[in-house]
Amino acid sequence: MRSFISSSVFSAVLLFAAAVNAQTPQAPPVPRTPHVPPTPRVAPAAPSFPGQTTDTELRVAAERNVNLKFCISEGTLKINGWDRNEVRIFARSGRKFGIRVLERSPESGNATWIWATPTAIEGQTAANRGECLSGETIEMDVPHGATLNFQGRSATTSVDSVHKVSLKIVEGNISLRNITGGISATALQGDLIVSNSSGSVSLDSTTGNVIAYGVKPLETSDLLKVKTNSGSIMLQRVGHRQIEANSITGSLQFEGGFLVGGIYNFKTSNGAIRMLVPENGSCTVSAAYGFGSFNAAIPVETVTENVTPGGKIVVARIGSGELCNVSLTTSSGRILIARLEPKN
Amino acid sequence: MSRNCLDIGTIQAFLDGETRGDETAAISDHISTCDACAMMLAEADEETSFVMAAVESDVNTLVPTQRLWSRINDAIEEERTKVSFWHRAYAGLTSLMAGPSLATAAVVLVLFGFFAFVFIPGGGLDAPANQIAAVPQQTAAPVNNPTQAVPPIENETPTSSDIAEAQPDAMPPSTTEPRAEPARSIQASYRPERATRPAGGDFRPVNALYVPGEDSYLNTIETLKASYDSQKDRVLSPSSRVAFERDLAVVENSIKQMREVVRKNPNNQAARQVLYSSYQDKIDLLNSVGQKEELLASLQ
Repeated sequence: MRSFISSSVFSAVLLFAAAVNAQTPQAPPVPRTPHVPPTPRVAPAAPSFPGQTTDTELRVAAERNVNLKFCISEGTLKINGWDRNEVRIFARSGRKFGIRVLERSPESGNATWIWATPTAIEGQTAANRGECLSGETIEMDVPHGATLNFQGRSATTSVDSVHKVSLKIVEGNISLRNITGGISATALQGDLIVSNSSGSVSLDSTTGNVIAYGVKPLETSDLLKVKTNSGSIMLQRVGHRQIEANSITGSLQFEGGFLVGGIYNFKTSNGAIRMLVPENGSCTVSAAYGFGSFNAAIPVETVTENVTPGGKIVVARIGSGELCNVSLTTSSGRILIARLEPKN
Repeated sequence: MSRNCLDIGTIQAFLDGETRGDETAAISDHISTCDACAMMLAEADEETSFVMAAVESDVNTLVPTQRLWSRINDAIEEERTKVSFWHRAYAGLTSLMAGPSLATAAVVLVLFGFFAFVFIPGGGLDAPANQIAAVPQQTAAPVNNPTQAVPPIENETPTSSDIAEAQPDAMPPSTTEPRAEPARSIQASYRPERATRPAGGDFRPVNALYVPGEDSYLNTIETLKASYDSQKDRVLSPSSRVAFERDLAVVENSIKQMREVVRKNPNNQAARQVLYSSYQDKIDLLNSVGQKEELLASLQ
């Protein structure tokens, strides 16, 4: 009887516990994490390009004055001139490409016109293959007398020691050195730096700065034209007799001497124009400004001064003023002519 | 010529209107039947016309004729009859207030009106103030017309807040009333004056006259602006667009300032030169977008 009572009590306790357990909300099941093997450490991946990426190097015999055209979609581009009659193109971690010789010299058989373009891989048509090279780094060695004509989307570009360059880059800085036969460069978003070059030079940037130093003409009539929207312009030791420099919101600085027969036009809408010129020069300066100011820190002789509210024109002479003409125009910027310290 | 023909004195008096009524009728009848007198009248009339034409200016300006005096007198009389209503009312009140009983009644009436205006609840001095304060709340509701909701930046000096407003990421969350969308504010940053002119006709307000050469700049800008509006969304990235709009605002502000100066003094050569330079900057700016699209298209 006692055992019956004790077993009954025990059963009742068990039933009560089961009932309480059934009333208690259940915690959600924890998902089991599957065992994941450790990720092997690999080198950073190269930029992803459509198609196969690989290192490619091609060479072709070329004349000294070879023309090379190509397009680059992305990457770092380095072009150097060398003394060989040969063109070498190397792309690291990029798309496969080929060199198409569009024209050869009838005498030597060397290429005079080259087009570097991606090669088609299986499953690609000419339409989706594109025409632009790409790679982590693209290096080109070309004869010193080569003429380059290329465009790019996003590329940091440096060109050294070739004859002539014509390029347009959407994004990326451009550095050009020792270009002997003229430059036409456009960098929509990026800085433009040109040094120790000659010929007719046209530099155009939208948001970047433009710097040109040690630039000189090949012929007297060669023009130096520099334009940027919101960047600054700096011209230093420039030997061109015709210079047009225009910035909208950036400032403009010119350092160097005026040349005989020079025609210099500097224009900015909102930035400052700063001219550092030798004190013993001879030039006539015409400064037109709306709401800005004009100051000369070197001796100038004011020829005419038409100062009215909102528009001023000051014509002044540096020295005799007979050798060149300088036109400075700004809407609301400052114009300053200061002395260029002679360098020892 | 018959015996009954008129002499030259009578004809001259007839021409000058100095004959009496019956004499005038008799002379008219005779002239209608007598060729010689008609000829004489015509000659006299011609001579009179010739002389009067020669001395007309002197007669009309230097000599106050009787007709002139009569016109002056008529004008004076007319002015006298045009006494203003307030003068008449003042004169009537003055005559009424001459009596003391009426004056007292008027003072009592005015005092009653004043106290009623001040102490009546719900009216009096508080009511107009409440009504006036309510007006801005009603008129501050957002306007759906985009041309009115977003004023053009061209008429304002660009500030950092304007630039921040044009950048979508820099927009603070709207806590009060709905505002215009950032993209719309960018699009509305340039509205050429030519576009706001009424279509049709050659209406040009005096303050919108162009200086020589300005019209061609505006035509070019209008064309490029239309091209820019269709390209900007696919060509310019947000950061580029902010930079572009900032440059455009700077140039437009410069154009606005210089245009005002040139309007005031069209002979201000310096202002015109700077104005043209600013127009060229704007053309270059708008053109740069087209160049970029061209370059991007060639890289496809």
